[in-house]
Amino acid sequence: MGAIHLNGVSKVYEGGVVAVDDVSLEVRDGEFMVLVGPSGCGKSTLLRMIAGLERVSGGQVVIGDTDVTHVAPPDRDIAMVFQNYALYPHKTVRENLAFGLKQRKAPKALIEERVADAARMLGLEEMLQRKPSQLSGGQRQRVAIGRAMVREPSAFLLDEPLSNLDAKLRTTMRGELARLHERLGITTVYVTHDQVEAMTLGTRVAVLRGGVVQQCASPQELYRRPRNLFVAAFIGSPAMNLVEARIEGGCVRFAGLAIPLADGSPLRGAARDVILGVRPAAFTADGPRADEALPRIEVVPDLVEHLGDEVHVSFGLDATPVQGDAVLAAEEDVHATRLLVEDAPRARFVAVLDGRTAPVAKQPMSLRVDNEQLYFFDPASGEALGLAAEPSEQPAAA
Amino acid sequence: MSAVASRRRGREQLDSPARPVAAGPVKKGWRWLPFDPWHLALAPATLLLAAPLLWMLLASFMSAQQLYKFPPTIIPGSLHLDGYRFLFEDTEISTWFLNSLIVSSVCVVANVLFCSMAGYAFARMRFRGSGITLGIMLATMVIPFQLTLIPTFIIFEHLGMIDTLWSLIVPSLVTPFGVFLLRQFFLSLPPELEEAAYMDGCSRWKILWTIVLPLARPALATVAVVTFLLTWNDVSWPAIAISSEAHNTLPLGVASFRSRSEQNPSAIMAANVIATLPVLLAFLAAQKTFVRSIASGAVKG
Ligand SMILES: Nc1ncnc2c1ncn2[C@@H]1O[C@H](COP(=O)(O)OP(=O)(O)OP(=O)(O)O)[C@@H](O)[C@H]1O
Ligand SMILES: [Mg+2]
Repeated sequence: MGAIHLNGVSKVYEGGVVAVDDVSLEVRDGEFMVLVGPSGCGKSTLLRMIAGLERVSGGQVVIGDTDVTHVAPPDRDIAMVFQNYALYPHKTVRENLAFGLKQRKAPKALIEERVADAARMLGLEEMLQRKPSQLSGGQRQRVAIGRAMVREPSAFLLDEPLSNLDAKLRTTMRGELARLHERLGITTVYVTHDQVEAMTLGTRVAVLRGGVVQQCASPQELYRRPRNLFVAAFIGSPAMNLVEARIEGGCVRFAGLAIPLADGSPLRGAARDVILGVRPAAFTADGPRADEALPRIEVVPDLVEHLGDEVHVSFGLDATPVQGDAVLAAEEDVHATRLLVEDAPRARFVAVLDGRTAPVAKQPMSLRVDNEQLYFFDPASGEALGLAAEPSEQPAAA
Repeated sequence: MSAVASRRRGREQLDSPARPVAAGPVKKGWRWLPFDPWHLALAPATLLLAAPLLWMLLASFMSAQQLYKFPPTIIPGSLHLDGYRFLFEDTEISTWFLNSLIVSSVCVVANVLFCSMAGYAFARMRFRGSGITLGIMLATMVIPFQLTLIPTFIIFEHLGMIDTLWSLIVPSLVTPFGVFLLRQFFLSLPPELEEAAYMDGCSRWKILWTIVLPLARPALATVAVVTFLLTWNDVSWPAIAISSEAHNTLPLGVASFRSRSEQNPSAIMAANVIATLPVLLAFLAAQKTFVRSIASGAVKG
C-alpha cells in the first residue's frame, strides 16, 4: 500500500538544467530507501517530485496503486521532514504536531491520542507547551519527525534531516530513526549526502550522480560489488584506493608491483589496461598473524593516524592516480582535503590496519593485500570488470 | 569569549552590585555611575527631541497672558483649560477628529489586508508578467505627488467623490511601499514552512492566514504605522479634495482654524496636542509589537 514507483521520471528546470534524468526506482512497501550522492546530483529534486512539491517534467510517480503524477501533495498521503525542520515558529510543539490532523478535520480525541503517542515515543512530553525557539536542535528534529508521524502517512520523505545536528547527536538520531522505522514499518525515502548515514540506515541505497541512478542495491552489495567507478569511489570511508594498472599474465601490475589475481578471477586470462581499486581494509600488516598466502608489498608510510581500534596508514606509490570525472565527483566533499596536498602525480593509498599494529611514519613496512578484494574498472567507461553475472539488484536478505 | 563581548557584558551589569571583575579597564573610571555612561550623551539628545512636544503640552494648558509673558515661564503657576474649551465649544474639532479617525483606520486595515495579499502574490506565486507588474508598481513610487495631483483630482471629480471622505480613503487603500515591504519580508521566510503547511493540507489562502501573516506581524505593524502616519498627517491632498468644513480632517481643520485665531495660542497648542496624541499612541503600540517579535525569535527555523 505504501510502495512508491518512479517510472522514467525526469526534471528539467527552467533554463534547461536537467536535475533528474529518466530515473526509474521502486521503493517497496515498508522499505527504507536512501538516496545518496554528491551535492547537486538531484536528490532533493527527486524527493520533492515524490512529494509533489516539484512538477514532473516527464515520467510517472505511482504511490500505492495510484498514479499521483498530477495529484496535489496533500492528497498523496505522504509526510515530509525538511532539512531545516520547518516547524511553525509561532505554534507550540503540541500545535505543531496536531496541525496536519487538524487541517484534515480529524476528530479531537484522535488528534489528542496521536499527539500523545508521538510525544511519548519521541520523548517530547515535557515540552509540548514550548515554542520551537525554546528547543534544542535535536528536540526540534524530533518534533519535525513527530509531525510527520502523527498523520500516519503511507510514506515518509526525509531530506537530509540530520545535517543540522552535531556529529554526536547525528549518530544518536540515526539510531533512533532506524529504531523508529523498525517499529512503524512505514515506507521511507531518505535523502543524504553522507554515505555513512546511507550505509547504516538503508534497506537499499540508490546512488545518484548528475540526476542518474548509478546503482540501487543493499549497502553490502554497494560496498562489495560496486557497478562502476563512481559508486566504488563514493561508497566506503576511507574511500577505495584507485590506481591505473595493467593486467597481464594473471597478475595486476602497477607501481612496479605485481599482485597475482585471485584464483577464481574471470580476468586471469586477460591482458589489458584497467583501473584497480583496493579497499583500505583489504590490507593487513605483515606479521605472525598475517595470512602467508596473500601477496605482500613493501611501502613507506608517510602518515599514520591512530584511531584506537584501527590505524590509518597512508603511503604514496609511483603510479598514476585516477583523476577521471567519476572519481573527482565522488571525492568532492569527503576527501577534498586529500587532494589539496597532492603534489606529484603519485597515487596515494590508505590502508586501514588493526589498531594493535604500531606502524611508524617514514619507516618501511610490509603489507599483505587480500587479492580476493580487488576491484577492476574499465578505464574508458568506468564500468566494473569481471563482476560475476549475479543479479545485482536482488532484494535485501531481510 | 572576546574582550569586546565581556566588556559589553560588564557594561550591561554596571548597575548591579555584583559586577564581574572582568569589566574592561577603560570602564573603571565610570564604575561609580549608577547608569550606563552612554546615557550622558543620549539623555540630552532625548530631551532635545522631546522638548517641543513637552512645550506644546505645557503651552496648551497656559493662558494667553502666561504665554506672552517675558521672560517666558517654563512651568506654569496655574493650569488653564481655555484652549481646550475654545476648541470643543467654538470649532468642529470632534467632527474633524472623527473624520481623520475614519480615514486613517480604514486605510490602515485596507493596507494591511491588500498589501499582504499583493505582497504574497509577488513573493511566492509565479504568474505571467509578475516581474513587470512589480516593476511598474515600484516605479510609481518615484513619481512625485504634485505630478499626479491634477489627474487624481479629475478622476475623483468624475467619480463624484470630491469633497467626501471617499476621496481621501480610496487613493490610499493600497500603497506600493506596503506591497514592496511585505513582499520582501515574505521572501525572507523559509519556503519550507509553507511547503510543510501545504503538505499538511492547507490551501494557499489558509497558508497565508495561519502561517505567513502571524509570522509577518512586525512587518504588518510597520505597514500599519506608516500608513497611519501618512494618512493622519496628510494635509496637501485633503486641502485640495475637501472643501466643506464638515469633511475636514483634523490637520486640515487645525490648519484652517489656526489662520483665523492668532489671538488664541493656547487653543492652537491644544489642537496640536489632540492631533499628535493618536500618532504617539500608534507608535507606542507598534513599538511593543516590534520588540516582542524580535524577542521571540519568530523567524528562526
Ligand atoms: N529551482 C531551480 N531552478 C533551476 N535549477 C535548479 C533549481 N533547483 C535545483 N536546481 C539544480 O538542480 C540540480 C539538483 O538540485 P538538488 O537540489 O536536487 O540537488 P541535491 O542533490 O539535493 O544537492 P544537495 O546535496 O546540495 O542538497 C542542481 O544542479 C541545482 O543547481
Ligand atoms: Mg538537497
